[in-house]
This record gives sequence, C-alpha cells and structure tokens, in this order.
Amino acid sequence: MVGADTRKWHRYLRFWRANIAADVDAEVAFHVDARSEELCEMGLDRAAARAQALREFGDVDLTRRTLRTMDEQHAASERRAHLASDLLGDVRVAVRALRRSPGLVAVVVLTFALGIGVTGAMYSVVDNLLFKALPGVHGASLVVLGRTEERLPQPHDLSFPDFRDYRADSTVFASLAAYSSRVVELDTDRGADRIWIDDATANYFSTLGLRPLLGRTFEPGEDRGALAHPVLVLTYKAWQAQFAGDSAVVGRTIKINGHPVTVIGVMPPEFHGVRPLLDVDGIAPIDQVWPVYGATLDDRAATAVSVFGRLQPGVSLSAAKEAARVKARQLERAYPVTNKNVGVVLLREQYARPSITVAEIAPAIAAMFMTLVMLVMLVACANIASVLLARVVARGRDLAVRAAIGASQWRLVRQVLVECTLLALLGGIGAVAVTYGAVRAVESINIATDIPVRWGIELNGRIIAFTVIATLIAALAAGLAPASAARKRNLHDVLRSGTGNSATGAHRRLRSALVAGQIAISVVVLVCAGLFVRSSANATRMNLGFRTDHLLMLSTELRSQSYDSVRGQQFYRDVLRKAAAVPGVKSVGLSRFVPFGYDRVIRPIVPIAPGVPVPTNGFTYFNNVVGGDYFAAMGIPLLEGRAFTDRDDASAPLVAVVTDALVKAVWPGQPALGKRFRFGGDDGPVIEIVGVVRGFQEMLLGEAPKPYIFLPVDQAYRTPMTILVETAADPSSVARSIRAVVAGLDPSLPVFDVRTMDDHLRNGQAMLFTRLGSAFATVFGLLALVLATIGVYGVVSYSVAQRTREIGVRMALGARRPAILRLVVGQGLRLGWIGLGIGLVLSVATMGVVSSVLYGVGPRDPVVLGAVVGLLTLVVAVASLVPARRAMRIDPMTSLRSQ
Amino acid sequence: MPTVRSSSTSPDLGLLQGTLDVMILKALSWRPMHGFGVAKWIRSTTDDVLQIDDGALYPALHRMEYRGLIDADWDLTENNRRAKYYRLTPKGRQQLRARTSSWDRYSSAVSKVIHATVQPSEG
Repeated sequence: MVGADTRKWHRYLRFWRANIAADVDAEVAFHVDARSEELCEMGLDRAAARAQALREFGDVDLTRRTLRTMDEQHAASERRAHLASDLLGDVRVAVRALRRSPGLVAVVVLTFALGIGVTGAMYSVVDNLLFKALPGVHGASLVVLGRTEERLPQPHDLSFPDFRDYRADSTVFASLAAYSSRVVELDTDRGADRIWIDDATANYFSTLGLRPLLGRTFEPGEDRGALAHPVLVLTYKAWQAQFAGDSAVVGRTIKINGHPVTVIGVMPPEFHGVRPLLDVDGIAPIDQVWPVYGATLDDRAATAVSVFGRLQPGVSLSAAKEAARVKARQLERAYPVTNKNVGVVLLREQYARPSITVAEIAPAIAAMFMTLVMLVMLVACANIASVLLARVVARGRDLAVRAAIGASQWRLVRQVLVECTLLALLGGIGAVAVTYGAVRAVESINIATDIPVRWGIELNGRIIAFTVIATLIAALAAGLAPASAARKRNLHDVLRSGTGNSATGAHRRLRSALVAGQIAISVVVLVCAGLFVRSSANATRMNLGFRTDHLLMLSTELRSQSYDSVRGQQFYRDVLRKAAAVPGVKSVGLSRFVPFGYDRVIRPIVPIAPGVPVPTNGFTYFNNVVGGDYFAAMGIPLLEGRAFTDRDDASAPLVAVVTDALVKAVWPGQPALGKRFRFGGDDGPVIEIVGVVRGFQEMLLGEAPKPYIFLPVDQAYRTPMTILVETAADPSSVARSIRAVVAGLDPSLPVFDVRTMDDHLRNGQAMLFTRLGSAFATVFGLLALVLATIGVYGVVSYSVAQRTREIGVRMALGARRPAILRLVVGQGLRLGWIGLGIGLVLSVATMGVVSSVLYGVGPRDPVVLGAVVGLLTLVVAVASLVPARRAMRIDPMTSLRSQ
Repeated sequence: MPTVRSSSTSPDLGLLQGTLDVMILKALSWRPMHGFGVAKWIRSTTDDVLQIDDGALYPALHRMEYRGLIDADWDLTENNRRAKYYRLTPKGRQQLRARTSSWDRYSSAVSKVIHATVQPSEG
C-alpha cells in the first residue's frame, strides 16, 4: 500500500476535474490486464490469457459506455446539488451580514419599496385601462367601430342604420353588437332610484361569449319592435344593491320609468358592462325600455350607438379595416345627405378605451406615465447601487482576504448579487403595500359626475408578474455596479492602502457617475411634472368662452307619464320664474347640454338661401336646446340680433341662435340675421336665425370654437334639462333654495348633478385628466428629487469620511474653514451641475412627445426649466452642506493621529 | 445492465442484483480491494459455481459508490500500477449486516420447505 499523501493527491485531482472517460477506461483496462497476468502465471500463453480475460469480462465496450453514462449523470446531479447548497450558504451569509446593518437595510428596502411600488401602482391603473380583457369567451378579441367626420377631430358613435349595414357584412364580422348607455329610474320602496342601463342589441351577450349567473340573457329578436319585449338583465352589483341578492328576482316584474319590465337574468360579478370605467346596473334589449328611441334608430345622422364585435376567424385586422372603409364609401354614395364625408375606424377594443372619442390617446398617455415611473425606479436603483457600492468598498479587506484564500471572483460577485436580490425581495414585499395604498388613493379620486365610475383595479397575474419582473430587474440594476466592484477587488491594492478600504479613484468615479445620472433622470421627471403643473394652471385660467364662476347647475328629468310637452314647457316657465325670484340669483337659464358634459347631439342643417353654395349633404352640427336667460347666465356674449324671448313659443315662427363659427362656415362674409335653414335634413322644419353669439369651447380644452345651433325650449321640448343659475355670491349657497323651488312645483321629480360649473370643469372630464396627470407627475418628480438628494448626500458624506485625513492635513497647513466648506459643497455642486446639464439636454430632446397634451406651455418653457435648475441646485447644495459642516469640525490633530 | 451467466452444469439460481451487491459488500468487508480483487474473491469463494461476467461487477460497484455504501480511491498496487480501490463505509457495513440476516432467514425458510419430510395432511 502507499502513503496517505498520494491518496490525498489523487482525491484532490479527482475533485478538481474528474476525467470520467479516462477513469473508466483505466479501471476496465486494469481489470483485464490483471486477469491476463494471473492466467499467464497459471500457464497460459499471453495471447490466450488475454482472450480468456476478455471473454470472462463480457462486453467490454458496452460496460465502458454504461459506466461513462452512469458516472456523467451522477456528476451532473452532484453539481446541481452543490450549486443549490452554495446558494443557500450565500443566502445565510447575506442574512447574517444584513442583520448587522439594520439602518442600511431600512434605507435600501424603503427605496426599493417606493421605486417598485409606484411602478406597480401605475402599471395597475394602466393594466385595468388598457390590457384587461372584457369578461366572456371572446372578451379578449373584440374590435370596436367608430364614425369619423371631416370636421370632428375624434371618432364617435355610429348611427343605428349604419351599424345595421356594417353588421350585414358577415364575411368580415362574426358578430357585431351595439349599445347605448343611459340613465333610467327604477321604482323602489324608497322612491325612484337613478340607475344606468345599456340599451343593447339582442346579440350583446353572445358577442362577448358570456353566460348569465341566473336566468337567461336575450333571445334573438328580442330587440325588435318597440316595447314588444320589455326585459332586463341585471348586473351582479345591481342585483346585490337593489334586490339584496335575492334569486327570486328572476321572473319578477319591476317598474322602470314607470313602465313594467321583467327581470330575466343576473350576470356574474366580473361583468360590469362593456364600457371601461362605467359600472352599469342592467342591460335591456334596445327599444324595449320606455321612453323608446322612435325615429332615432332609423336616422343615419344620429350618432346613437357604440358598436363592438368580433371578426370572422381568419380575417385579419387590416383586412377588416379595409372592408369597413369600402363599406363606408358605399354608404356615402347611397346616402349622400347623411353620410357625406363620413368614414369609419375599426380598432382593437383595448385601443379605444375608455371611449372611442379618445381612441389611441389613452395608450400614448399611459406609455408616457409608465416611462416616467420607470425613470423613478431607475433613480431608486441608482441610489441603492450607490449605497451598496460604498458597502462593498468598505468591506474591501474582508473581500480581498476571501479572494486570497481561494474564493473565486464569481463567488464574490454572487455574494453581492444575492445580498442585493434579498434586499430587492424585501423591497418587493414593501412594494406590494405601497402599490395597494397607491391604488386605494387612485380609487378614492373624486370625479364630479353621477355616473358610477369603477376603476376596477384588481391584483391579477399580469400585475404580479410585472412586480416580480420589476423586482428582479431592480435587483440586477442595483447590484451590477457593486458586483463588478467586488470582482475588481485586488489584494495588492488593499494591502498597500493601510485602511483596508481602498477607495480607489475608479470606485469614487463610478459612484459619482451614478449620482450624476440620477440627477439627470430627476431633471427629466421634474421638467415633465413642471410642464403638467403649468399646463393644468393654464387650463383653469383659460378663457373657455363662457362663465366658469358664480354658476350653479342642477339637473331634473320630467318623467313623461305625467309630463307631455305642454305641461313640461309650463313647468320650465314656472321654475325659471320662481328661481329668478330667489335672493342672490342674478339670472337663470335652462339647457339640454352643458359644455364638457358627457353627451351631445349632432344634426344636419340644409341652408335655404339663393347664392349659397349648398353642399348636397347640407351641414352637420352640434345643437342644443335652451330656455330662460341662458346666454346671460352662461355669460356667452350676443354679437348680433337678439336672444330668445317668451314670445318664441310654439305658435310663433321657428327661430335659432347660432355661433359666429357657424356663420363663418355656412355663410362666410354675409349677414347672418334672417338666414333660414332646414333642421334635420331636406324635409326638416324651416328655422330662421335671429341672433349670433360668440363661439365657446365645449368638448376639448383649447379647441377652436365649433359651429353650434341653439333652439328655444318652447319650440323644441326636451328632457332632462339642466337649470343654470348665475349668482352674486357663492353659487353653492343657493343650491338648497333652488332645490326647494323644484320640489315646491313637483316633489316627485329627481334633482341630480347638483354642482357648480367650477367643480364640473375641475373634477369633470374637462380638466380631471390634466389635473390627475399633473398630480401623478408631481408625485413622481418629488420622489425622484428626494431619492437624488439622498444620493448626493451619500456620496458627499462618504467622500468626506474618506478624505478626513486629507482635510486634516489641509487644515494643519493653514486652510481656513470656509475654504473646506467650499471644497466639499463644490464637489456636490459639480456633480449636481453635470447631472443638470445632461438632464436638461435630455428633457429638451424628449419633451416634444408630451407637448400635444399640454395647454399654453411649450416643451422648452423657460419658467419650468429655470425652476428645475434652481430647485436642484438648492437641494444639492443643502445635501452637501450637512457633510460639509462635519468636515469643518474635523480636528487636524485627531485626524492625523488616528491613522 | 449487468448480465449474469450460469454455467450449464450448475443450478440456475436466477441471481438477483441484490445478491451481487451483498457479495460485493462481503468481499470488501475483509479489506479495501479493486474490482479485479472482488471478482477474484467471489470466483474462488463460490468455487466457480456462479459464473458472473466480470464486467457486470463494475456498474454495481459504481452504483453502490453513489449510494454511499462504498468509497473509492485511486491507489497503487503492489506492482506499482494505478488501480481504483473500493472500501466499505460504515453505512455499507450496516447494510451488509442487515442483508446477511435477511438472507439467512430467507434461505433457511426455503431450505426447510425443500427438505421437508412431513407430508401434507389430506382434506
């Protein structure tokens, strides 16, 4: 036998690169050789002995192959087990190390939590808005159709006859459904409740591929014949809220708008209607709930229904778009009066959220905010990288010694990455809390409307996957710099520098670059926030062309079983008279629509005037029905002629007031007064223009005033109507008195949407999204600023600690304290300015993207850029002042002696 | 898979894999040996009744090594040749004891049946 040393040596060799094939061959060869020799000794000649040995061994090749495969498989599984146990060891080491520095853990975890959390929250909002499929088998593969017109910037709803023609093209559409959302009154024990329903074609649910929870949905044909099939399918929410989840409700007859309707089914809880953000209460077949649509469903000029559907299998989106375009041109030729210059857009349902009128705008804005929030996460990662880098540098001696005793570079890098991933995971858990809180905050945003809004944000697989991926990316991003620093550890450097933490120039430069980078990103985010804030402020100050202050609005609806047009018009006259007598009221008007409201109508007019180049299609314009001192109350100035008076009643000639923009469009350069037109088409009533008012904005902030037609309510009865009250003092102070006026006339009437015009604009669709945008951007901007401040503070104070000795020497040589202050603060400011410079260049280069959603402020707004420069300089100076004061207090003697 | 031959003159024992393992464990219980040593010991001990392909031994040895029953090391023989030596581990020794006692019980039971002198009673 041989000594233990040799055996150890072989064992070592085996451990370090076992050559499996060679070992197996050697083992088999030894056996055959040994047996041959033995047989030789027993008297066989060499060749015979070998032959016998081989025979006894069996299939040599097969044995070799078997052994090799077995050994290789075994070695691989050993390696895997090793790796897992090593990783576990790394985790244990990391946990021990982190428990020794709870302060660092707190800062890093908090930073991760904020960075990942706001990203997650933003993603949750975007996910619900853009990615979440509608419920139902076909929910994810729906398309929507929208009508385009030459003079309107956005697509909108289709007319019902157009919808029927598109649906008839069954080579393209497997199923096409239409619906229209409206408010109705449900009779309950407590009185009348306003609920939202969708009037839908009978194939509404089959298009979605959605089955009811209870009862049934519509049968084909149930949408035919006005009031022939008065049935209703409840949503889960309404079933719970109105009927306490009583399953006996199916088959029961309820009263809607005073007319009987039978409940036939209840939908599952995930269904809230087709329109995102709107939480409807029920779905009825179109034309089956009173009041019915009447002629509207046959009117190609009435944009009555939202349309969604799914394509035939195998039909591509682009092919469907082309087919729809062809169909639109056919319709244009067939119906020149109503469909001249009317086109169609076909979009994926997700791209037309929350409504087709903002098609493809929402995705762009969402992408912008996602970018902003990712930048904030990047700043957070840079901060963490910086902190961990300092930690790696501080642990220089420890790492160098481990490297010297044989730990591979990969081992050391892995250790740092494991530590970082651990921190990111803790941060990820914190991020879930932040996400949850932020989402609750978003859901509590008050939107000034009686429409039931549902953000519908819920934790789903995509959001969880997003958070996990964001966490891993954050860990990697934050761990890369420190890990590479750990790799470059060099025993020689460490031992040469006595302190053990060899803050080599490279590491300081890396940290400085990280901080300058995060300042640059902060600048971009802050500039964006500043632009939004300025834009939002501009929007509130913008002259919209009508009164926005001292104006109260209340709406009421005359339920028509007791009101016909004569009684209704009498009611309106009474309300106007009594409301005007309320103390503090300056003027009172009535209006079917309010600017920046949620509905509007568009009708064609045909001018009757010799010499006017009348397009055969006439003109299609928005119109409104008003009463009382509408123009005075709204502060819309009369330019020519007169406003409506009491004498413009049903017995008088039909009159209209139009905006200057309409005159310019139809009778350019001509006097407008006395001009006549047919309203609604070639066979509509003839109406004479008696007054011209100045145009105003009513649909999109900053738009050019559109042509607009006003009709007097005494000649064109409408309901519901909004009462507009101009007041001398705070408008909300008269709300109670005006309510009392309505109740005094008819206590059964609903009064709703009571708010000031100011509130309606700020919290309604006019400015809500601008304000939300500026609020979001401001939060992101401040977050980035705070993170960048921490970064600057960290780098400067670390550098002060590193240079204690140098500063001591300078002071010993006679440097005065102010000079030290300048030295330290100067270092911080230099970093800050480098970051600022890069950030400003980036901002100017990229902000053009957002300029389309800004009001009255350009992407290079000097006020915003100046404010950001000032703010960041100030913050950087303050962040470096704290360590600078510490540097000034350094005692030269102590600092020199300490080393 | 190891193949086991039985000579035409000897009874077909249907040698089980487990039996080969026990024989290897027993061989190594004397002292550490290389594969050839194990084969030689088995051959001489069984008087060539069991004719085992020598090649069949090695997969069994390797598998037992993975399972921790034996340990292997490269070492030099008396003739100064490199050979792979196998050694029983404590776990292997324990296994040998367990297998031996269960084999004893099994073989005595079979033996009693084969050499039985009592005729089964009728009915």
